[in-house]
Amino acid sequence: MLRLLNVKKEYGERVILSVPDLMLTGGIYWLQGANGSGKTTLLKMIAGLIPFSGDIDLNGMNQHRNPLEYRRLVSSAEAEPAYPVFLTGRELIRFYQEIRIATTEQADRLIDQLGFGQFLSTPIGTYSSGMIKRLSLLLAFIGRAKLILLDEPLATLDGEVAILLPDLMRDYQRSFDTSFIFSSHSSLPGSEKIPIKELLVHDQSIHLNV
Amino acid sequence: MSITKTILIKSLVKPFYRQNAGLFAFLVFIMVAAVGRANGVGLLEYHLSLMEGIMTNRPFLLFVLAAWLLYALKCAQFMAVTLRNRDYGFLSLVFLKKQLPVFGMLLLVQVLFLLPILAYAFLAIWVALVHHWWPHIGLLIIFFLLISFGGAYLYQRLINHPEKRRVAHIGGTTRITAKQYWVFLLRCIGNYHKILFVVIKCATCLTLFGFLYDPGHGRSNLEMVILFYSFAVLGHGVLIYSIRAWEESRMAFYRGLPVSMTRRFLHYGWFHLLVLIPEMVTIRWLTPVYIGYGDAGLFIFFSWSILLFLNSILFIQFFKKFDYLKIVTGLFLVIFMVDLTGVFPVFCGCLFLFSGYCFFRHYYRFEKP
Repeated sequence: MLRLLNVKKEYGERVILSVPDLMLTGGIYWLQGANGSGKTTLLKMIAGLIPFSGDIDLNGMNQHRNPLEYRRLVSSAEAEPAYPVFLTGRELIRFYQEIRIATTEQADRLIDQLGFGQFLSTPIGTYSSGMIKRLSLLLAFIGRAKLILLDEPLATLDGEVAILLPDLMRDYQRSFDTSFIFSSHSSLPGSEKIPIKELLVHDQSIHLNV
Repeated sequence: MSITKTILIKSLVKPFYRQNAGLFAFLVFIMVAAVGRANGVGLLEYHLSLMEGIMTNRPFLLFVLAAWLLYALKCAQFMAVTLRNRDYGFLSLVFLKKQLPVFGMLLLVQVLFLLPILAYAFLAIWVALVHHWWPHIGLLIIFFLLISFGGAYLYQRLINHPEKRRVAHIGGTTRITAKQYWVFLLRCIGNYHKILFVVIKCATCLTLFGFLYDPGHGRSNLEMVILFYSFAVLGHGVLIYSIRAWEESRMAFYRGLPVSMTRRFLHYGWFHLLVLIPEMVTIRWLTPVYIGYGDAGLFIFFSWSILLFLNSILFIQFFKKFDYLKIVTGLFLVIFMVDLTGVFPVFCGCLFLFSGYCFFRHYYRFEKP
């Protein structure tokens, strides 16, 4: 599914990540590591949000050589999402829906599942951080991405929605063969229902705990 | 100075000037640097006659007062947005004092906000004093007392009634349905940069009109027009820089979405073409009597290429504002030299191609530090 080959990320002289070769098969991965270890950087690199040297391939699509096809396969929700404050949640959802060629039924179902209905028509500037987090998760699930990256999905999220995440992941895994990589300092509530593999970011490298 | 005043100045006044540094730089450029010695008239004489004009011509005076009022509204908008911002929640502690001292502090903040126009108005009043234009002096003093005390009162109201903070948003939010990326960019202007946009459009359109409209002599010397017009068009750099900064903070997610590079570039292209509508209307109005169709097309293409260039270079690196202004000034000097050599159409084509090259080469490789 996902392959990182000679991937390196540096900020000035400082090496943040250096991954000679890493192959991940389909599934749900829990990315762990200390603060500042490079978890967010890794997720942003895989999401195609920041540049790096080396190659990242997803289902045979290389991020540098096939940027459009690659981005069709991957979706992400950031740890601290920020959106234009003057837009409403509905506008942003429709924007994603159009770009990801997703059905209205799917968007409506997600709105319903994540309890977002009553906030749809209000500007994002009025949302609490928890609501913005919900919106970012909703947007990440729009479409049929083969890999969804969730950076700290539990941060600022209330328990009611957090408990839904494992079910949602399992649904997407079954329906669309979607894999997940999520970073979190604590395990997902209700995660015992789904098989989770562990990834550890340590010493600028990534280790798979089998 | 008391610690409270220091905090207020650091958290309200300084950010206001930092946020609007581009607008002020552009205005200073228009009011000072752009006024050259022409027909024996220098900077001082120019401003003296401008102030006399403000005082003696009623429609002009009303226009200037309206512009100053717009500026005061911009200050109010900044205050409302800042007070809503969670990062400034600590300010509520500052405002726990008695109402009168708080009002005094807010009045000081408002006066510091209004300082640039107050300085100019002060000089205008001095000119009016010399000429004994008492009613005009009275009008200006009343106007500034109103916007100073009115502003301070409004800010106090915003502090005491947090639920009203949204009311102070000038003109509300722009309501265009956002389905395309260029609409987001337009709405960014509509929500944050209305005044800057109007100032730039006034500068470009008035330059075009002022230099090209010449009923007595027919068509003007285009080299001279290009020089002054390019200067006004480069003022868009301030706007483009602010929009790119906003994109980096609020639209970062867009880079991860499956949108082709060509489409992304087209969105920017379309957006900048829409931004140029006022210039296009002005040029169309002057065509074909004062400018030929070919030259009109060249002016529009030139403006568009400049805007695309100013946008694309910010994907090579997100330059600091000062460095970016240096690049813009450098571009003006290049235009000045090209204007003298007569290869202007080729230059416009090169500028356009270079913008495309920069964008396609650097878009995905760019990372804001």
